[in-house]
Amino acid sequence: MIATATTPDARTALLDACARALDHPGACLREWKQRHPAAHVVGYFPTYVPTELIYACGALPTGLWGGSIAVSRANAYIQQFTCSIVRSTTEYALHGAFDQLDAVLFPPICDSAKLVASIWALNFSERFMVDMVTLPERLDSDASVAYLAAELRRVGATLAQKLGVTIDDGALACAIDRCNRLRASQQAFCSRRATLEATMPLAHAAAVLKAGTLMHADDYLPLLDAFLAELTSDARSRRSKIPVVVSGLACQLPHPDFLALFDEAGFAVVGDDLLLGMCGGVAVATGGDPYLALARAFTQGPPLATRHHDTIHRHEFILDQWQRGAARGVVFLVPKFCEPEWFDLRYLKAEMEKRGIPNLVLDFDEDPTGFGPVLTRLEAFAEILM
Amino acid sequence: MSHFAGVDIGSLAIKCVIVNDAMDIVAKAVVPTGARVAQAGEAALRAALESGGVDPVSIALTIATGYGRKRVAADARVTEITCHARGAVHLFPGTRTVLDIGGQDTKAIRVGAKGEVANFAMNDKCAAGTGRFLEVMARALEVDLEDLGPLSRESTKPQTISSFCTVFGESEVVSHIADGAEIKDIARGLHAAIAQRVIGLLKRVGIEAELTMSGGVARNVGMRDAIERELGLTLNVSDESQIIGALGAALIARQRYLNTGEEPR
Amino acid sequence: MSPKKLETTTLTQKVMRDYYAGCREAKAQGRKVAWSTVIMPTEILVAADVEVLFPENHSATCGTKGLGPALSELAEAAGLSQETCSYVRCDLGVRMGGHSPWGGLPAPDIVFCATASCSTVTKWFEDLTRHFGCELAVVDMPYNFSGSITPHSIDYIVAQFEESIRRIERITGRPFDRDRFTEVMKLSREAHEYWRKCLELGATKPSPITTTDILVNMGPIVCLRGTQAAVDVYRSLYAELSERVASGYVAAGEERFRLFWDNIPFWFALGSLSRRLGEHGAAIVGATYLYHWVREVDPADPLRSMAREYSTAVTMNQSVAHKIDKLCGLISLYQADGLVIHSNRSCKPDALGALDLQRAVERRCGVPVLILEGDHTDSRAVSDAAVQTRIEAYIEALEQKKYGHLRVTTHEIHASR
Repeated sequence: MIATATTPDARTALLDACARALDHPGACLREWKQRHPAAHVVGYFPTYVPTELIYACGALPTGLWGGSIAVSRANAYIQQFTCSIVRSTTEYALHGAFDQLDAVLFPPICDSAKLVASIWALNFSERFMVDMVTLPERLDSDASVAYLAAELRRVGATLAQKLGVTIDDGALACAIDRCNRLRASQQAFCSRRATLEATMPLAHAAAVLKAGTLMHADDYLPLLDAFLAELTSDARSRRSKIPVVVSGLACQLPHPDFLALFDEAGFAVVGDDLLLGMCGGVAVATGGDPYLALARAFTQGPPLATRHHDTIHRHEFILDQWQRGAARGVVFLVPKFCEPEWFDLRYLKAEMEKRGIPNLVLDFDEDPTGFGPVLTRLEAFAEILM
Repeated sequence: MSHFAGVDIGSLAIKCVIVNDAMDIVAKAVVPTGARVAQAGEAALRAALESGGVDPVSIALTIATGYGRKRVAADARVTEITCHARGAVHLFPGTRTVLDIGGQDTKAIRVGAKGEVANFAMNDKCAAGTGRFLEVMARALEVDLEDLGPLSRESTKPQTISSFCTVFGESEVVSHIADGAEIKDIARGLHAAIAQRVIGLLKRVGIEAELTMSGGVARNVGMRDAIERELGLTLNVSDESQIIGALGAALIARQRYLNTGEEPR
Repeated sequence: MSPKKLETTTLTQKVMRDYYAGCREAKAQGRKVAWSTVIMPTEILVAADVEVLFPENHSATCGTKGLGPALSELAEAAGLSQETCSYVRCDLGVRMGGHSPWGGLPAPDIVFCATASCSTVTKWFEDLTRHFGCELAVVDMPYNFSGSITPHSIDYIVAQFEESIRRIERITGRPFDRDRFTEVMKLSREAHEYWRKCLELGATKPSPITTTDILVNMGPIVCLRGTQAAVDVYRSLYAELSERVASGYVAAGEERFRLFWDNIPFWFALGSLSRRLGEHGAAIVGATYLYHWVREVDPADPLRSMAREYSTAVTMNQSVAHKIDKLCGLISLYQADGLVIHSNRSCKPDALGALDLQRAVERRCGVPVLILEGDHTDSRAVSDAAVQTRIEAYIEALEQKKYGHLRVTTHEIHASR
């Protein structure tokens, strides 16, 4: 039986809104546009695009996640040895799912993302503007900050011009404040995982975070904040479950039914770096040059598989989560065909094994079937940890 | 006297083993899985009870394992990974590594002295390195799956199958046939190719002697030869290789019952 | 007429042997050794008397010797997924004790990694620093999405070049000699000029040189930029090719079909692929790959000019639209009858976009395009039988297109893929 730590109303309201945003993104967009007839919608590809710039244009930023669509038309654009997110988003685009968007921004988060941006620009530019926020790959150099600030200024100007607006300092400051509040609330949500775990399954928690990338912050934040205000701590909840840390990439989450297997196998996920790119960032400083502040915040964010930092390493972040959550094991979630993650995995596993930390590797794609073997692996891992 | 049952629900066959307090196998049965898994599971248990003349009331605890473990009635469920490890160590106490090549997946398991799982790895979604690969290839060669192993032993001019993909592998087999290669030589190459994949999996958990092979493919002499040749060590293979998972489940049932002394929930 | 051996090849082989021997000797004498990505202005290192080795080049060489599968298996057993670039798996396989034609590379004191070719190299070189416990200098060269490089991108790259120079000063304990650097850059410009002119002569119809022969002579432009040896090799090659063109020498038989190649070669099948094509009177006369080393560097403003050239010369760092323009230009320059795209699963940045490239080239140049699924060094990912069938069907399509014999359309080939 699931313990209830909040009144059902705040929880239900949040989960319902998030489920709707995830299950019916097209309908939600249409409704939003009806309510805001003059405003624009700008899609962005995971993991990191500064949504502040989109808000500053008075537009709705909305994340373009893939999904469990059967890929067929996209096979005429992208080879099959690529991860499912680039293929499924392209399939959705070919079905016209993103025709409501005014623009799409891509980060060059990996080789596949760079190329898929390029392929979209070639094929979909008549439907919406396609541009790239060319993030630096290095996070450890002052030159990266200066470069990114200039790049953000360029992207902001290009986007504003396309949307027929101008970005003034007031609007940008306001957008930065809004995104800071969003990040703070999402981080508060994550940090109260022990309580949350009793309140909602992992798949729902992931849905809440993911919906934060689809909905307008003004619609989403009140729901999340109301839920957090009513969330009381319930330390008893975790007693019978095995605490683990889950590590993966920020750009792709497994199917909700896949995440539900963690609950089924008896795990409590006490820490993760799955949605880092979305909500793990640091607050953007206010006052001063906003572009410089945005750039600095990006380079100070948590370690990512696809960004290089000379002295800050991803395993340290995972170990920190492990320690804080008193976890007993680490589960690595690796998207099929994700080269950066397969590279990191070798080193991350070695770091875990050096410390005698049991770990399990699960590969996944967006295929919503065939979870039996995944459950077997998770349960066998649980049997090792018991 | 109490008895303990292990039921291993595989995709093709259900295996049931009953052990007594002294860990002796007192009964076993293998029945086809069919479409009605729950009924087949009960049928397997019944068949085992009858074959060993075991009183159903004496079964103190039943543990189900295998891919269909949740679809049959049992007191508890344990994954086939833990069960194969336990069963293998029981039959060959020196076992430190277990290899199970199944129809759908292949498992490499590192075990501790008490048969506990220290680490494991399974193949990804791709079928290369599983029994399925052999099935596809046997069909391409138009020979019975059972004949593939013995045939490969007669090879004098082994062919190379280098592709790691089942589809590519099949086209390689077809082109070897077209080039007039002998079936026994292609069969030898196929086993070597799977051995390569399987050894890669084993190396991920670390190979430590003794290595025990479980599961149905363990009965394939061609596969055993290929792995032994490649690793330079002798595999433990029991006549009971097919029921190792069920045996492990029965032994875990016994252990749980005796350790806790509690009545099952 | 059997093809004549290029005399320059003998020189190239000597130069490369001396280069490896020199690196080993330097290591033995305690001088500094660096490893670098091939897309990197290693002239900076040459000017600082640091020996430079290139693991990509090493892996490609392992590939030509057919070592890809064996080395990959070693790397996979060491925990590196089969889904990673097989160059990295070859390198790790050698580090794990696998066989290398060169007996491995001397261990580096520092590794330099520029991201213009891909982001994969960053992960690779991060692993190298963990393995060797040495310093890593990443030079980030942002993707040129719009097709043209932005001014802030150039500033960023130049700042990192300066940072690299400071690192080298620290590693060698010597101040960087800017005058020496200018001299090195002059040599580099000269070698690049000859390289470009050799490729231009190679485009002559009929071709005086096969692409395989150019590849065999590629070592110095990859490994020895900024040295006199590289200038000597390409001056010699240029002279030899000029002579061949003047005398009307044809390198690849009848040349019924002139083909252009895109992406890295099948290193393990260079000879067998050209033989197989040759049976049908087809020859590969040029390749995009060779053009990654066509650059104009300015010794008067070396860092800025290299920032521009190194981040734009490679198609991997450019938008697909830009790559299409470049390929269409080259196909017309070479008067090619067809384009063969290697859909290289180990090189996503160069392989993705292949389907758009195919459509655009067929439309704009009116030449049939063949896509071959493959891998640059891991032959296990390539089906020889499938390659054979596709090539034969493609040749039939070319026949029909050029000579009107056969009624086979490219659509049927695509459908069979």
